[in-house]
Amino acid sequence: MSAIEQLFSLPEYSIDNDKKRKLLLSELNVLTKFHYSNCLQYKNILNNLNINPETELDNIEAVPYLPVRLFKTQKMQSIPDSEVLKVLISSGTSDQQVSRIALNRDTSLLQVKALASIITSYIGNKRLPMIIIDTDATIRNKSSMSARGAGLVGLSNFGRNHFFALDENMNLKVDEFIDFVEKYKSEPILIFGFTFMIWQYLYKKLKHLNKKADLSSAILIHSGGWKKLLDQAVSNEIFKSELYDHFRLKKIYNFYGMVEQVGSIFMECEEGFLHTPNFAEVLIRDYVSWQTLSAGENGVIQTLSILPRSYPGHSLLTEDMGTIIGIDNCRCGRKGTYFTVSGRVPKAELRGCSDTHAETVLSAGS
Amino acid sequence: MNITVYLPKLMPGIKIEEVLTKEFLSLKPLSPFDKTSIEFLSGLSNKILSAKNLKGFPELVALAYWLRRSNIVSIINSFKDEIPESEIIVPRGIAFHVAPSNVDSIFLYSWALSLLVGNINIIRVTQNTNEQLDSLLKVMREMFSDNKWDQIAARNFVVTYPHEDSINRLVSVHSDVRVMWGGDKTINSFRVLPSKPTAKDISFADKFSYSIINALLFNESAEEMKSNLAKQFYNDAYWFDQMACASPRFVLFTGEKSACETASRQFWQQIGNELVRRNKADSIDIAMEKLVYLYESISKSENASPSGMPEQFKPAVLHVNKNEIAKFRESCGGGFFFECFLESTDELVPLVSRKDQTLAYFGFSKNELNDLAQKINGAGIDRIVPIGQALNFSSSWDGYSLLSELSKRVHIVS
Repeated sequence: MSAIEQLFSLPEYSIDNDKKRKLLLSELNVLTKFHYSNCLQYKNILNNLNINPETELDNIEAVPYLPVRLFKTQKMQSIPDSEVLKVLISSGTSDQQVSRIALNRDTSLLQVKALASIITSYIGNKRLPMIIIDTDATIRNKSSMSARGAGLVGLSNFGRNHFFALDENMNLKVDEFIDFVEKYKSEPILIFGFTFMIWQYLYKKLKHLNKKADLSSAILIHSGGWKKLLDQAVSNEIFKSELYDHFRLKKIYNFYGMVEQVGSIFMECEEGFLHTPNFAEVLIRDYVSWQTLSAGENGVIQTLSILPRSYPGHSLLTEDMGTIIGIDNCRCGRKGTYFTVSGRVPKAELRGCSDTHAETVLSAGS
Repeated sequence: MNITVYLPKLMPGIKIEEVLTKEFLSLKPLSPFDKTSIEFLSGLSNKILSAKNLKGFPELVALAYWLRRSNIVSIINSFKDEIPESEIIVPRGIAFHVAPSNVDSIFLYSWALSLLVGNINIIRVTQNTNEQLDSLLKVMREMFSDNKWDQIAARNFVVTYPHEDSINRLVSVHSDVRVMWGGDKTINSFRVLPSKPTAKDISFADKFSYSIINALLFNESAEEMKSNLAKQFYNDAYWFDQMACASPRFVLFTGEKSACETASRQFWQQIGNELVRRNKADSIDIAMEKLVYLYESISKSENASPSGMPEQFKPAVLHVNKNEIAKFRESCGGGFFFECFLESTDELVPLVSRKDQTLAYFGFSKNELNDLAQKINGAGIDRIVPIGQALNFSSSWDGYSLLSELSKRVHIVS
């Protein structure tokens, strides 16, 4: 059985990290070679860094990585345009540049498979009645999809009788929401949405209206970053405890993921740590030397994933900071590396004679 | 339309119409090179040099030196020497200055020159406050509180407001000269605004600058000379985080390949030593910028060799072939350099573009430089200065003789 088949066939979070890293490495080596032969920019980078893709690497730290911002400024693609199935677009950040990730059939299928393996290990194999804390407008355009849309589409596979709880103006459809919860009170409901939107448009709205809903058997999965909530001094702990107080919602799982590596997401466990699934690994790098750091040390997060087949995104240096907490020994029982994310790398403000206008761009985008 | 006035005194939320109509339009410009103007600039120089909280800003210290009476007088005198007997210098009237957002001190130079020729000045500074600008404005406010400077205070306003075309438009139609820092985008956004038919624009577009080193002469220099050159280069490159228009982004070595290789190795080693000596460590955001920029750059080239991964206390250097220079005409700043070897300065000639501003050199004679400028023949490059003087402001900047541009001449036939 090939490495990738083994990684997909073994139960999620069941592989000892040493073994997992070996399997990942053999697949990552294949991907490095593939992208080298099929993406000119990637080939240039490796050549100019004197990295020979034919060298069989013996440790995962040596797999070359790309800063994730490259996907915003360069066309990084390893397939001809005719094979592009869809293009994922990251949500715009303050610099207003967006990532464009071209997917082919292969990559797309692997993403679906990986996500299924991860999510079902949390919610079981049965499709659950599902509330999406978003508007259905987000997913209307299927060929060019925002990161938010891709997340919604991906997660909606695990639900049935989908209910989009927000209208196009981000207003909660309060009565329909209450009715939906009431209708399915005898079984678990899956709720999915972006962290900020759940807080702002669901929790705050119902709290303001002083309306309760019993979500004690529901499962909430959410993602999308903490920046806006931390601005309101809402931490993950506060988020969870408030949702528990208001809705009796106990099963709350955040996940860390990015449009550049859709599918191999890092789900939070009951202990509050993010876990690497079978198909992915994280490393932490020091910005002083760009060498890897040990568990317990805070640095820049590098994510490795065996899913990207259509673009050279199998090893990415993110612009997030984090710390590896441990490997194979989380109290939740899941094997593999587990970690926390502490925030974004601050954006450099290097502006010269030519930037009287940057300030307007920045304020418009944020 | 409300603006915040920083100078001559703090006035938050004042109407721009009031500043323009009540304050400015009723005023007469001062005479060119009025004694009060010279005294004021020299007083400002002393004030900056004696302010303890400004000592940490080498750019401001450089500004203060430039503002010294002796320097100002010598600038005035050499300007006057150029004026034929049949011409009299007079102010243009109201000057509208748009300052760049981060190279805080640069607009002060063009302002000072405008003030010297007698213009009334309104200066729009960035909305992003920063320590350097705040301290400087505070020092100047203190000066303006002395009624000795009332005439200057009445004629010089530093203001800020959000980028709003309506305010820019209003100031524009009342201005006789617009001085636009801030690069191409700013210039283009102002060009579409109406201005007086008689108005003049002085625009500082996006620029690109180089250093050029004669490899053989560098290699033959004494160790002390090399380390001194590194100190000089440090000032050119690392002040303003390499983001001033005159900051070198490219370093060219000329000579035989082996000489260039030796010079390059030793030069960057010396720069590394200088970074250590000054304890110039990169913060994480700058380290990240440099790493990303390195990858972006090498993705575009089939043959570029980085000096390694960007590291603390090492300049980030990417060696590129001369036929690829045109691909790398931007920089992330923070100490990221492109490097290229040329056989001689002649090879630079076809590479020069209109955007090129400063060529800072080591190891070339006046004749060689004159020859080079003539061969380039206006295709680009406005200044050629020794390494270490790239950021030294001169009243001749970006190809403008600024005193001349900021004033008018009355031609008298007798």
